[in-house]
Amino acid sequence: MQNYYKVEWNNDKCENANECVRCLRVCPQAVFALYAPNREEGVPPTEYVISPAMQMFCNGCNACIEACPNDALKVYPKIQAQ
Amino acid sequence: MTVMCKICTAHGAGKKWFEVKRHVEVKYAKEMGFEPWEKDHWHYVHQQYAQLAAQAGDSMANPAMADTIRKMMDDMIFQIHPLEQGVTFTFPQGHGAQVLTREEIEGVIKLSGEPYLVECLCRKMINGANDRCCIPLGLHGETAEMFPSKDEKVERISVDEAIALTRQFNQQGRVHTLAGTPLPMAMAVCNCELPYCIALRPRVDMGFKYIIRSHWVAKVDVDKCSGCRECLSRCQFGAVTFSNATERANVDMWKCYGCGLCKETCPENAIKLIQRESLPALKDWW
Repeated sequence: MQNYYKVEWNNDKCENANECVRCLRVCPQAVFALYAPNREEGVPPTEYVISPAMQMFCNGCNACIEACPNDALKVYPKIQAQ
Repeated sequence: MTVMCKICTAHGAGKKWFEVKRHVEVKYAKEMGFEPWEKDHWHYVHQQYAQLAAQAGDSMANPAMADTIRKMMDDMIFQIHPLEQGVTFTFPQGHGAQVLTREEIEGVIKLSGEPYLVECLCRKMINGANDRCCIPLGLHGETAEMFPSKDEKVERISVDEAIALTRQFNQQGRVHTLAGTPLPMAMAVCNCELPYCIALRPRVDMGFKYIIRSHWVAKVDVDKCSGCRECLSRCQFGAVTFSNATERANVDMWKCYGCGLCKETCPENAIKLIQRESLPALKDWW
């Protein structure tokens, strides 16, 4: 049995993901990843999304929650079923 | 007889794969029709990595699934295509990488003669940092303008500048890796740092064998080692340990990736790199 943390990122609450990137900067485990889901060739992307991609490495330090100005993040412990 | 890694065996023609001249040539790459792949690659990594990583991460958290997924990824990554058929755009088929020492990386840069300098895609995506540490060569540099934001500038630099930069990154403790983009083209020189590298992280923390170890293994000469601990913080793979009983550093050869960072920093020259093939236990340990 292994305990781990689940990270939830809310797209509606996050504003200006590309300029802010505070959660990316503070995360000691590099859990988050910034990306552009819809991108056309030769044009800079307009919409950016942050995904808690490597959440299996989250150690529950809550630094991202403190850093986020919009409360777009949630971190909660999850106990894996046997 | 030399023991070759799987990229060398498939593409090296008796040499190490990064020492073959045509693997860094723009002309050859264009002839083989790799140009659309390169463009697509910059585009694709930026767009898809996070989604793929999230999916892989979710599944890897379940121990029952982990081995199956690892096996699946390994099969996918190192699929070798017959070159006559060109390449498919399915990422990451035939797209592998290897850790190299500083001397080997300098050799590749000299062989190519066309280095560029761009922002590191990984650090931009994972850390939000603007860090110019990525040195693509030849066609990979030409197509780099496909990546990412409007303030991004692709800079053409000279070979000497590229080598000076490589030394600077080496002093900062970056691991040099060379990626086949796609294999067998050896055109992406990276200066990586855990945990921000999207290639090293899955290898070291999750066990996807996308990056393979170098042709070398570090070994400490216990007579020369003075116990200064300089090398300890340099190792990104946790291979260098310190024994309080003997007051000497020790390299775990099974964990060593052969990047040579500990060797470069040792004030006593107590660490040397030995060939992987000279160690029967490690010669198939990539």
